[in-house]
Amino acid sequence: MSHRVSSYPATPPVRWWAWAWIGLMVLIAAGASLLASGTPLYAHMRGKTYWPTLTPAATDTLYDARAGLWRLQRLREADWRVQPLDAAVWPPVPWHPMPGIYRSKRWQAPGYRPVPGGPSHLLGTTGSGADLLAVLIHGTRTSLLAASTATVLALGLGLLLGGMAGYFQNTRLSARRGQWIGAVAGIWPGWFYGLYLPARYLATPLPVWAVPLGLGISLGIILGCMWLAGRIPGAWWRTKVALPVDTLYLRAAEIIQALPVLMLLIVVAAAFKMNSFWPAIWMIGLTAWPGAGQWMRNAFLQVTATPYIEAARSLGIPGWQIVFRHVLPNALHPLLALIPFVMGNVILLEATLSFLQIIREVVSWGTLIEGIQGQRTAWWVILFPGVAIFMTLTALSSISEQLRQQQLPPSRR
Amino acid sequence: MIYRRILMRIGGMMLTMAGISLVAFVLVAHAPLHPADTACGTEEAQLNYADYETCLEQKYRAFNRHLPVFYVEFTSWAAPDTLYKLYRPEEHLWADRMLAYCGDWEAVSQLRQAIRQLRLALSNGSFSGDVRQEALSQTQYLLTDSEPAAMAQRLAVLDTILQGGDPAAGLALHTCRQALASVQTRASVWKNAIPRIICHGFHNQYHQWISRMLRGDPGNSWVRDLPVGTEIRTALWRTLPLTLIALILSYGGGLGRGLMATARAGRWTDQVISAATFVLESLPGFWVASFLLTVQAGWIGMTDYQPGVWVTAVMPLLAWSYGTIGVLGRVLRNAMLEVLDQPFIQAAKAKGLSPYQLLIRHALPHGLLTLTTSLGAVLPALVSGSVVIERVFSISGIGELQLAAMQGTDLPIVAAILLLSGALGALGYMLADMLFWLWYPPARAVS
Repeated sequence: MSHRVSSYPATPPVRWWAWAWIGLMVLIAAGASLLASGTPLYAHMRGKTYWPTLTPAATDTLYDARAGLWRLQRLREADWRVQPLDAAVWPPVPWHPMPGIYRSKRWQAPGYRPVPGGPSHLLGTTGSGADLLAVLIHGTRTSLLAASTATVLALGLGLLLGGMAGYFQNTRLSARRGQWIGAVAGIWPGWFYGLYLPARYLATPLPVWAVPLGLGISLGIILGCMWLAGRIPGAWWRTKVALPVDTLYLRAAEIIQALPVLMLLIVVAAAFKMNSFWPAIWMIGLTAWPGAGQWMRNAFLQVTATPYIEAARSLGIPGWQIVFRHVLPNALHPLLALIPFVMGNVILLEATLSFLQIIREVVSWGTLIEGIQGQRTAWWVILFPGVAIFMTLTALSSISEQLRQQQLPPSRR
Repeated sequence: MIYRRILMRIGGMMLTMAGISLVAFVLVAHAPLHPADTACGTEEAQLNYADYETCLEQKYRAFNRHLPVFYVEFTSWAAPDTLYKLYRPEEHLWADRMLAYCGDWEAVSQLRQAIRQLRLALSNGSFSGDVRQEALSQTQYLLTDSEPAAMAQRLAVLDTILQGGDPAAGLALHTCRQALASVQTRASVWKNAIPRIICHGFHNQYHQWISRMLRGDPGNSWVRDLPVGTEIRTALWRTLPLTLIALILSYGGGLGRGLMATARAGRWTDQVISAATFVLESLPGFWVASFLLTVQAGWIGMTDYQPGVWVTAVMPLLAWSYGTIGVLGRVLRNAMLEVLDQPFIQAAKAKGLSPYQLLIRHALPHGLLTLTTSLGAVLPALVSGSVVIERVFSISGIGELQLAAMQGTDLPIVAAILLLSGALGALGYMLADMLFWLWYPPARAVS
């Protein structure tokens, strides 16, 4: 047996196709409503110019085929295929992802053409009669929105908490015993005056912009209590003790990790009777931080143990400067590989939640695959979204692998 | 020293479990539409108010909802110690709103009692049906108005409706007006600005709930009137055999795959295995499960899993374990390759150890060591199964029970399963840590 690690190339290859696929996804997501829409992008009729896709709220007198008369209609909801158009530019996929008035037949195979000479459903229709390709295109936007939001949240939290745990560990954050007691005692009045009272008397619930303000007031009160309590004399009261930041962090991370994520999401959906997209995504972000936090904590532990940090410390450089100048740049680099990894996990989780119908009311890849339960022979319903998810996850994990390998010495790739 | 660490770790696990129980309790206690709120019908439909009150009292007692929520309550100086005795959410909200307005509990509770007397007088007194109905609905609105000014108007309307009627009702109306006037003085609204902590002691909802859970009695299901324990046990017996086999398959497969890939590192076999697992891991679990279900339907013509028929278990097991095999194999391979890079391996090789001995004696223990952390997730996985696979293959196990309970908002079941898998998770992570210390003494020293 030989393990010839040296046979690997000296620099890891850049996975161009993966970057290209993700770039394509971003473009599709950004232009989803222009790429797939049931209304023309531009239309010219009876001397007037219309932009139905771009001006969804506008109304005009249009022909209603069902009623057989001309009447005032919203541009977005009108059936543009029956209008006597002089000229029109249709989007590449002339179907809307949520079938409104264009309800095609359900479960139609790819290439189905509802009206002879009219546009066809390139990838077939779903169980509700929507165009599969249009759903795929709009689902891209859902996936990317979910991935970016939850990833930012998870990485931000992980960075902050894991970094704090790794930097302060169990001994570095010390203050007088009285100050700690004051801080704990200050939490309740801080919350009371910063958040509870304003919400009770000014606006219920508190507007989003006011929350940071309230949190700031709370923090001020807590710090004030800490300062006040620190002035109380007494040897026991004034002994310096360290806050076990690392232990507290590990406990919090363990609580989150001990609960299966899917279970937790099901419970939240049950308790608050919600099947909407954003709360679920926030929940995913709020529960996904232990991975990034662990990574950050390890990086901090490794970096703070190196001699040059000790040298910096002994030179009397303040702690915040050591963190931002020396520790963070070194610790952040390995985190880069974590971003696509977490994004892939979130996309997978979002699709799973849609599949289990815990998230409803949103156009998603997972919902499509759920459709196979209704019609076993509808292979296109499971194949195309499957390929989309597969490509995305593969692209993300190979980008992650590339970023990871770039940071390792060749011998350890 | 190690005993102290173990004791501290056990303490930590207890803390984690307490945290999980709090999460589960908060989710259940804050559920909208608790059955106790709806069991006695809507308030508008009541003609006999005394009966309605008795019914409510019984129902809330049955669910322990007549107790304060937690050991301590964080509130303001204006709130009384006994605000929790207003059981119904809308009643509680009304009292809270009134308190925020005037800060005087004495006045608010007098007003509440006066409105109650008025309703009793209305349901007992002799009125024609229309007048009674109209007056009762007006008193109903009294408890939804947020502004005392609007309430005063409402009382004036009631006065015209009850003109020259029952003397008891007239008296109650007069008391109402007086109580409202004292609320409207807003004499002690400042009390709302002073924080206060009330200590309720052990007689509270959380304490009762968690002690029942610890005794293994999670109460009755809300939807079907069955004990939750029975339902979970039945589901557990369906999940456990499958997950047990699946886990054995996962770890066995992962071990084999890791050993194989390490022995052939860099060669085409390793590359093929790596590529294959890479592809499999990028396929969503529910997609693979749906695909396998379609295959199974074509193969044996049966779609659902049936407990006795082993053929129907093949596809669920495959769907369950393929992902874990890939992950475990990769982790094992990377850890073993790392060891094989070290100088002492070169020395051992120079001494004439065979590649096979190197792999099994030196690389494998280190690889297995990295797997111990993943063992933490095994215990909860055994019990909670997989929601996706149970849904796709119609296995009525724990995951499916949880999903069905979610759709029917059957919170006792949801909370019990969450608590069970959370507790097992905490236990599993603790055991994994201890195994790690046992096996790798240097880890014991790290704080």
